[in-house]
Amino acid sequence: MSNPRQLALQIQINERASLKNFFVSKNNNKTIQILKNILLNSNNGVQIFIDDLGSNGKSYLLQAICNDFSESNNSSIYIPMEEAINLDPSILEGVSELNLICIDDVDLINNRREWEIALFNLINECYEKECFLLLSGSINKLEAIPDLVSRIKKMETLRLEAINDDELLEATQAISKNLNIEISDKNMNYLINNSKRDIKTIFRTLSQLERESLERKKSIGLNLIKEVIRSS
Amino acid sequence: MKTWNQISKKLEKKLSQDEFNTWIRPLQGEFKENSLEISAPNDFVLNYVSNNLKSHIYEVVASKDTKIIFKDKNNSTFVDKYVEKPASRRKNNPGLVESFIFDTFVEGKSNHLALAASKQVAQNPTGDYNPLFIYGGVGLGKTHLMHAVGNEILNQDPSKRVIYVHSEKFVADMVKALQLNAINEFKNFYRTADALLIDDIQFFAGKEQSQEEFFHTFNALLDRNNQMVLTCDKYPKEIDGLEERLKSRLGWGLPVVIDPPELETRAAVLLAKASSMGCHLPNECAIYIAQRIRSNIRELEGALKRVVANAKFTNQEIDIPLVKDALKDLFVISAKMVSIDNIQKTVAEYYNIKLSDLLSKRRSRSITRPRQLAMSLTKRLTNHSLPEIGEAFNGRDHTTVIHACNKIKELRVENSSLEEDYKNLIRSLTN
Repeated sequence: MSNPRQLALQIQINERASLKNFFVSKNNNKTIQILKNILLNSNNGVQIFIDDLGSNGKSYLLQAICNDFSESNNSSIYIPMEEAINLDPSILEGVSELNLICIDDVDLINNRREWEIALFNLINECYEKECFLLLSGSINKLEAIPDLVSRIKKMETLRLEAINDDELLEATQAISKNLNIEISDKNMNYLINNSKRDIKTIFRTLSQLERESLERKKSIGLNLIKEVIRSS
Repeated sequence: MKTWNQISKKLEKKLSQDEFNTWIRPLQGEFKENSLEISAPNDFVLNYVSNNLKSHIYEVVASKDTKIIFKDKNNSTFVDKYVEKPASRRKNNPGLVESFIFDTFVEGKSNHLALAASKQVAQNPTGDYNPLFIYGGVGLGKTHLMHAVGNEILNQDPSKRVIYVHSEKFVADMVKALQLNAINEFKNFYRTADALLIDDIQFFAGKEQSQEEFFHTFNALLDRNNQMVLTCDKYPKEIDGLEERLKSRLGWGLPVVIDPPELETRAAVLLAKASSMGCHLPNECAIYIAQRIRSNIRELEGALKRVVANAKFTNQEIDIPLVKDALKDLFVISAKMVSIDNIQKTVAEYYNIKLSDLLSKRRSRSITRPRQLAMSLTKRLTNHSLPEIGEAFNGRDHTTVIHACNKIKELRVENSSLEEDYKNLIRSLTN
């Protein structure tokens, strides 16, 4: 059995994530509205696949939905496969007892037969128990047993698109505001022009800036931004 | 004495909402003499609670004499799990999905024989067709038919005990039973069913001990003249990793195949599913989707869900343009990330120049324009930062990339030939 102390660390969830503060780009407005409609109007559980080819915010979205579910007194669990893939697939046993299960980056189970079977069983159990199951990953990259792939393709599939460059500044401002950090426009432009232009990178960079700024008790200036970009 | 409910309420006040909902809510607790037995749905939750939240539970219990015992809920016996549950139809017949009935199964040439045989078995479960062996590819309706047989048997006689189990679950249950020294309960549970439905038996392949147990279960049920329905992705003799004696037994009854549905059946399935979702799907839309998605019923259902969700969101009737828009990424498999190398190579080939020239310091217009175009395409089709793009173009500065992008943006408006080149390259790189 795996070390429980590690398990506890590996499923940390961003407690501030919420659909209320999820930055919705124009490209994803329809997708997010459809997702909200499905979640609000499904009394008997539903299975959804969030298809994300790049780094367009699926992990934050899954964590946000988990947190929002918990706020309404529902039980939920967020399982990032990036961490969980190193554990025993038996961690999925019995999780269908919960109201919501979110599994991030499911395509990482490709060619891991024991994980494929565990996920296959979980999908069947969730169907039977009518709980909410949200999977994310890139559907085109999925190479698993046909029984699993066909079940995933049966799910409500919603695709997250990349953010347009003209919305990057707005997204960066919105995320900064949520993180309660202040960055001048000039420095923000520097950050945008020198980082990968996707939501995940921007969020990660801003979160790190927040942490560094708090630890060092310093405001966020150009030097710190350069340092964080270099280290990422 | 406190109850688990009281303990749970106190913990709710003590812990954060996330912590409580994720870790405490799934637990079940029971006081027994001087101990509190807490069971969790799996080892994962069990370990977390035991290692991180035990002290909080002790504080709330507030008694040094009470011993806290953690146990995995899956360690309960088969009697705990099934037999002593309330006698509702679902609990008494675990796993059976009530909505999978014959009325909701769409008949076509590809499944006509399997449907007829299933109905026959459901009407006369102890007849000649034992086991009924339904085989075919994934997502073609084998599981639906199997549940329909089980549900119909129960309709005829609600006192019957019909068990549906996926073969993987059968194996997992057997392993647990062996661990818990409860193999006799396991045997008794399955061997006394009036009808046993086992799905996807190809998963027994290579699992010798499970095959052995399944073989004896099979014989016991046949001896009692109790019905079995089995599904598989192949004809019995073609299943690799299965013992010969088992393959032979599987062929004793009636093997029936479900083939991939033809166009008319695919369209009919879509119309039936749409109707069950309370939506009107015009015939031409059903045909349009069915012509493009041929693999299996599950993928058709997935596509239909997308169409319906889009129609509800936009408050529109379903028509061909809406279907095309909702399923555009499903119909175009492309949508792959493009690499900088690929863009550079494609642009160089398109303008018939050498890749080394495209990346060189040369400033003649015949080279700079394709280079600027390649930079602009890289910015559009990848998520690399501007300095990364500059670096990939022979160590240029990110301001050069910005200049190139702005220049191409201007030229696309002024110069129709360049606009044409731009579109051609996008098409070539993304298809």
